[in-house]
Amino acid sequence: MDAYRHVNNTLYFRYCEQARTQMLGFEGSAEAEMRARTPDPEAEPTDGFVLISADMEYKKPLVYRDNRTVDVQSWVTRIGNSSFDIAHRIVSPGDLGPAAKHYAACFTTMVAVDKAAQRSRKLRTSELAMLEGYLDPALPVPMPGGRKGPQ
Amino acid sequence: MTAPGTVGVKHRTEIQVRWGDQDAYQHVNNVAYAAYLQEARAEMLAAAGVRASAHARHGTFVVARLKVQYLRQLTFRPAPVAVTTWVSAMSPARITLRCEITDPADDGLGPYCTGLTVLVPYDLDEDYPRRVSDEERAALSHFLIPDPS
Repeated sequence: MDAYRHVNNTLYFRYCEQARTQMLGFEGSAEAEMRARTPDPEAEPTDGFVLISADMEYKKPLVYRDNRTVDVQSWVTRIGNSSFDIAHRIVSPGDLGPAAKHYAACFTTMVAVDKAAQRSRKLRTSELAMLEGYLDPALPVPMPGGRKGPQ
Repeated sequence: MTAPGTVGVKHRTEIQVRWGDQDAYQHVNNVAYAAYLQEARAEMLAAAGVRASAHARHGTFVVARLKVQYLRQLTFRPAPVAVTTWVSAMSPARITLRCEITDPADDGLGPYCTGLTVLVPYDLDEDYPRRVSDEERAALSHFLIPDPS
């Protein structure tokens, strides 16, 4: 919360990051444990993902209240050779339909990297399968080029 | 104040990277970039004479959009980073800012990130958007560098 009693704009980035890392199965997550049971022979310990773009649209203020939670809905909107896009919406708990009124929407692009060599790499077969599982044609695809105003 | 038709200046400030701004990749985390841009924005508004104060509830701005393009990794460093902020467009209901984070000594590798921020003038008492006042427009024109069309 900031001086306006609004959840500060930077924290929306954190909420989306939290949702994204859970979805993508970063170290320590349930998704990662699940995938560890069926190891991908292509995968390397230096595999990682980095965020290269995040575009947050704040629709209505999220006002601090005790015990309040929000849901962050995340889905994949594009899969490339080494990069992919994820859309997020911050909504009231359980309000997940395509027409849900959201507090904010965020459009992100991530790149698969080799953390040691510090360069991008191709997405692994298991990563492609994981990302395809999060494609949701029922949800709007607002990126790219679908927005008004400066880029 | 800047006369109509002339180009303004960019606001520049330096921000110290904090140890705790790093994440598990030893990169400055994406959320910290947003916080740096926010600090610089508040300084620019104050330098322009536009007070973003919780006490002036009728005359605040809220962030309607923040886009950050992460261009290269920023790691912990003892030297601060430079954050440059300017106004790229003004309309009666919104102010668009552009910003970038660079090495203050200009290491020739280009910005760590570029950012786009849309501010909407907002009346917190009415809980409703307001219009950019003439005073705000005049004050912010000091930092107005319109996008090339």
